[in-house]
Amino acid sequence: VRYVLELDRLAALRSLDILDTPPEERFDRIARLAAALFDVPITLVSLMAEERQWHKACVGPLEAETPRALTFCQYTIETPQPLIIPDTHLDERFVTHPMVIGEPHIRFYAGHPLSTVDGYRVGTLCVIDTRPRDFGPEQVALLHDLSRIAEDELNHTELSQALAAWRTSEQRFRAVFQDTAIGMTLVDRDGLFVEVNPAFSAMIGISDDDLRGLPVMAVTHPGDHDQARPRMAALIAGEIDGYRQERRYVRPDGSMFWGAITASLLRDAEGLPDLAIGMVEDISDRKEMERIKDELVSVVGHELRTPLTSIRGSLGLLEAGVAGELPGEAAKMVRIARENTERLVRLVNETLDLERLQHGRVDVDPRPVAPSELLDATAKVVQPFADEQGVELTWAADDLELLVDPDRIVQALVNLIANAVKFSPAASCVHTSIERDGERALVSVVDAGRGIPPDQLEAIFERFRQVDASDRREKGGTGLGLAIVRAIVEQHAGRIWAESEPGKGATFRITLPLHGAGTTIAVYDRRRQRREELTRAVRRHGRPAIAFDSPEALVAAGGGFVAVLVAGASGLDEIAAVAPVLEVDAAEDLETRVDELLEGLER
Amino acid sequence: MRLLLIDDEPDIRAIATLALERIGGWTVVGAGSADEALAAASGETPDIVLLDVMMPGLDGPATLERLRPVLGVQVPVVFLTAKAQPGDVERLMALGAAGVIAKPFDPLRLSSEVDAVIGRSSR
Repeated sequence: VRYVLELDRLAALRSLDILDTPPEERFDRIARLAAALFDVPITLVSLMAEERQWHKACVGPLEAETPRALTFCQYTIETPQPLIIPDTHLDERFVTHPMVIGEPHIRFYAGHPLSTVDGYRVGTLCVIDTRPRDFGPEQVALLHDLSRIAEDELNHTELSQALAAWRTSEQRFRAVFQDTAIGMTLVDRDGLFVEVNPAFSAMIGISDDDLRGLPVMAVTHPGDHDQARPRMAALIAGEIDGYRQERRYVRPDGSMFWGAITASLLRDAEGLPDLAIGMVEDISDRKEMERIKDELVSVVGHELRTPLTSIRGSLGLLEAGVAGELPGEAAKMVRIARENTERLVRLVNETLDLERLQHGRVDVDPRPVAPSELLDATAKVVQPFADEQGVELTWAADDLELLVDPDRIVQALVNLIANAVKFSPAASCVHTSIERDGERALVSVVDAGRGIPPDQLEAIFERFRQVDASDRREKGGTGLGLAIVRAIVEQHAGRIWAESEPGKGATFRITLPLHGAGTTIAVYDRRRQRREELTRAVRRHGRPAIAFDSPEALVAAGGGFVAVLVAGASGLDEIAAVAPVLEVDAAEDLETRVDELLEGLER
Repeated sequence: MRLLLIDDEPDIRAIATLALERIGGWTVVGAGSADEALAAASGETPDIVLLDVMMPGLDGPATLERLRPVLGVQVPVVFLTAKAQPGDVERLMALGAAGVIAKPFDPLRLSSEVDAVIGRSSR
């Protein structure tokens, strides 16, 4: 242990980087002060290396260093206390010491260890005389004070080392800043660039010199100012710690690119917001790919519809014998062609449906609906199919009111129940229920089919994922049904999941918003676009929302709302009678503001 | 009974013609544009007109405007449209249509849909 400690001590000494450095006034003055204070001919500020004692500062006729074994100080560094030897001739440890019997004829020694900040005793401050001395407690205290001053100087050395290390580290990070392919910016509280890296300069096409001092908004696409400004303001005000946003930037030549910015806040020593750090990635290629993909899906989908309609129509007429009775084999081929065309039509329709749902291009128009209304409409669609398959459908519903778009939810239920019927054995039962579950409605579709393996319970909601690849052919599904159901449920701020014990059937569950359960927010604005934005923001926050285009409609809908969110200001008095009014300023960052308002409501 | 069918898609015209003639017993005259329709209507007046809404050049409503003076007010006109939301239907009915049939139609049921619109009993 002792050996290990000595290695650590030597490492601490090395890290001071002081051994064999030239004399320094800050240490010399301590040695002189000690000599005068204690009236001694010899004083040392020394460091104890592995095999030698090296004198950083020295008063008196001594060499620059002494072999460690010959020193008094080797004992001093053993303990935190000072070592005091009033008369070497009376101390059997030192009476025959070479430095006592020979030069410099030490009779008196008082030494105090010097420690690093980590507590390693790396050196000593000592005072030496050639005649015996009395060294009382007051003098010990003085020696202690003086050694503290020496320690401070030693540790200042450490500070300058730390500074050098910091400089190295700063250089490394600067190199990263300079060389990375990601654009980096530092922006001050006024929204002006303080520093940009070459990657950002290159993206924007403005030199770093010209960018410094320029407002961020000068290179931000005007169409994105409204979404960029509030986020930046909230960050630099210290209200948020960071944000991610996709926004367009413009170059001096008028061209633009899509950037994904990740911004965070740099605080000063007092913890106050100082600078915003932005990392900007050029995502124009990704945006373009997304656009092309969406367009492709949409164009191909619509272009496929027209010829498919003709094919299906022609085959239907042929199969029905409208153009004359077909011979047996020809009739069979026509039937196969017609059935597969039906599947293709379904696939195209569902692909377009899903595409529109996922991009929020489908209007969800929730209103208060009774479960029976949903179940009746669903039964009308699925009952014939269930009869055909010999599967019984049973229904149950609590007395409650949901806040959903009935058309969409019926579409989802039809998908779920048809799916359950498809995988159910004949003469079994598919049970659908709608019940209250706290502040939400819980919809369950239970079948007695073969079930779903545990590792597939989540994957089945992805596109073209079926438990068994052969299902798609056998069961005639498109592989899109459950993905559509999930998209619909998510548009209602709901959740969907499957539970199953393989061999014992599966249960699909959906949560949907209840009307008047102390969660629903009414949204009112005369402007359609603004109204939709507000509604989306509330739903993203996870609350059901219902939109109104006039105060009259809102008043007519009556109570049941937690609050009314408004952006337009007219008719406020009427609205306030219905529920507390939360106002959103048109200039604000909508999503953040809605989050704040709703969080305030939840506290 | 003569039926004037106006649709710019020749395939759709062929399918609808077959279905209406063989299943419904209509005599179908096809037209691919407003001009063709005007020519056909000014010959022998049809008993009913099926008119596609979305056509290049003159669309369904514009075609109806040209056609009405030739047809007179008595001849029922039924629109065929891919956009058959309640609002769309209302707008088309306001133009003086006798009815609206949604596209894509099932050719096997087209004839009975036409019958239903004009109140003719199925044969």
